[in-house]
Amino acid sequence: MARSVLVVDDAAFMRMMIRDILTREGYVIYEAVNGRDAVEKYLEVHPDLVTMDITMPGMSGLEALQSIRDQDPGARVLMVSAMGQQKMIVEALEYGAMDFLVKPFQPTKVLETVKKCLQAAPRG
Amino acid sequence: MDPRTLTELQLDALGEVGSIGAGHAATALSQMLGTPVDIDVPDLKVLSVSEVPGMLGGPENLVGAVYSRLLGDLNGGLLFIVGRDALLELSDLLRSRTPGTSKSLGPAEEATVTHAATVLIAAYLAAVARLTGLSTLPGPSEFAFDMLGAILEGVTVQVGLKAENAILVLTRFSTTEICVDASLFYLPDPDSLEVMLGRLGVL
Repeated sequence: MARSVLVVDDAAFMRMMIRDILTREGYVIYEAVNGRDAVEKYLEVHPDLVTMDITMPGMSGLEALQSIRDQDPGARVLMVSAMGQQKMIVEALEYGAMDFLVKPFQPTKVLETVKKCLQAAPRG
Repeated sequence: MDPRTLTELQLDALGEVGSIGAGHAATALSQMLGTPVDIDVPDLKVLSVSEVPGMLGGPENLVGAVYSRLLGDLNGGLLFIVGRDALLELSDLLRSRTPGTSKSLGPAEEATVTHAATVLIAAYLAAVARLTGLSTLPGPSEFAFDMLGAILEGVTVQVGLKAENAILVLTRFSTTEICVDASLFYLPDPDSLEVMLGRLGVL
């Protein structure tokens, strides 16, 4: 069965880029436009993986990550952000993110990281 | 290509380019300061150069500016603008002083901020280059401290008046000690804008 990914980003352009990369490989894509939307969509569709931007209006990606993991400790979340500072990466991993992808990225890197996250055991 | 005819998706793509550039600029600033630097969601505006002063406190507002002409696949210029007080605070932090120590702008403050802005511009452009696959580099940076109106006039003459419109990315960089409202302008050559949008797949 096709694996599903919830793509969270406030920029339609970035959602489109990630969607195009993943749909070509057969993934089923859902989209959310900010942190709050991400939490709602997650609880509605229970995707196999979430790709999460950090800098978004309203609820940030880090807050959404915490909220999702609070409600589902087995949730797999991959952070995708241009904010590649050490502290942000460490913080995201401490909150339970599986990995961190720094924008801009190569499509092959996205596919490789998504696959790796889906193969690994969820962080409980 | 006239920036005023851009579609919503094209504006969104340029906004994301600005956002990624600002994220990398924040990482560079964080490395210089040795402390985490956060950014707010960057605000993107496309406007004519004559409308810019109205957005940033009026043409008589005193600001520090660092200008760099683009070299390589993209033509145009990048302009980093920061208000007087924020400029002095930024300079203090970069020189490991308590923000508020510097009261006036001297050669040391000027050199410090020019260096920082040059690194931010380079980080921004490196992100744009990786995202678009275009090769673009900043030319030598020039610093000016003047009224906003005078600075914009000087820069548009340098760009050759081709850039009638500016793409403005307003970003707030913040550390635990200070908040710096900075503006980054991309003054695109109309042909370059088309090249960039083509590379982003939204032309």
